[in-house]
Amino acid sequence: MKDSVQDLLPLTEAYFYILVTLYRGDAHGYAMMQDVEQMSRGRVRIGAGTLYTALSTLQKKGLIDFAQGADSTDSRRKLYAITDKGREVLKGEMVRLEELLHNARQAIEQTLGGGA
Amino acid sequence: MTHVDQFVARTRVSFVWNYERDEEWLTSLSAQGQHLVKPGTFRYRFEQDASVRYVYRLDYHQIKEKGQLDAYYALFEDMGWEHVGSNMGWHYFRKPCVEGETSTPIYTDRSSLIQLLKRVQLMLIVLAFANVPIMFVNIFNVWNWNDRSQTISGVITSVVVLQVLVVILLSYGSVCFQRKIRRLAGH
Repeated sequence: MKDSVQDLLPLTEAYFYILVTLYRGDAHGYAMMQDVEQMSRGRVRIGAGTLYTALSTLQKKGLIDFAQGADSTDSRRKLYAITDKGREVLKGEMVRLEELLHNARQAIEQTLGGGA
Repeated sequence: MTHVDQFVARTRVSFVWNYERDEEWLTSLSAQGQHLVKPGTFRYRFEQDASVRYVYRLDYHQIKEKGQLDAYYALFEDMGWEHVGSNMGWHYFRKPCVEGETSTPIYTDRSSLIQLLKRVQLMLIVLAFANVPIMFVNIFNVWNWNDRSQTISGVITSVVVLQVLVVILLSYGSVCFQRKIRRLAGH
């Protein structure tokens, strides 16, 4: 819980996409997995072991939590929600990724302009 | 589909650092029509049915709370994995084979697989360390009983020998897992 946003970066692809799907709204594990597969057009496939480990790790670090007012229909299936800290970490990771992309793009544009 | 109610028990000695080989063993037996229904430490119970074929996978988690355990099984169930049974923190899952699907891993990224290996390694280290003080008490007892009763000191000696063996195996296991972790992390 004491980790600062920077300590939690970089995120794995699974962590990143789980936070993205939960940013849209609360979800169960299975729905998250489907959502991630769809967003990445089948590239990122999250297995059951990885998903369970990721969810319990993210919850331990305080980035996600069980959704308030748990659904009464099926108590076995847990509904997850993103926390304020989770949103902060997701945005922090986006800033980091944008910096990487910005610098790489600039380097490529410079070589293109000078060489070709 | 007709079910043939025929059970077979098999005995197998396997080491925890070969858990992937256990998955292969169970999957290949399933291809021959024998499907694990109850895992054990050495005895496994199988059901015979030639009409299906499963892929078996093992996961390790020490989950004590009932609600948490139910949620864990429910998550696997949602993703097509049937919970077959559990033994000492190891959970056995299976999924019907799909033609053309070559591998169906439950761990799909390096960091979560490393977390699994670390969980198992920690359990081995804790067990090894728990054995060491008891071993020393026993060694002290052998020395203590030596002049009073040869029989009792002999019995304790064999217990110590067994314990030394167990500690060596546990330590070797944790070294094996360390190698697996390093191979993955350094890749």
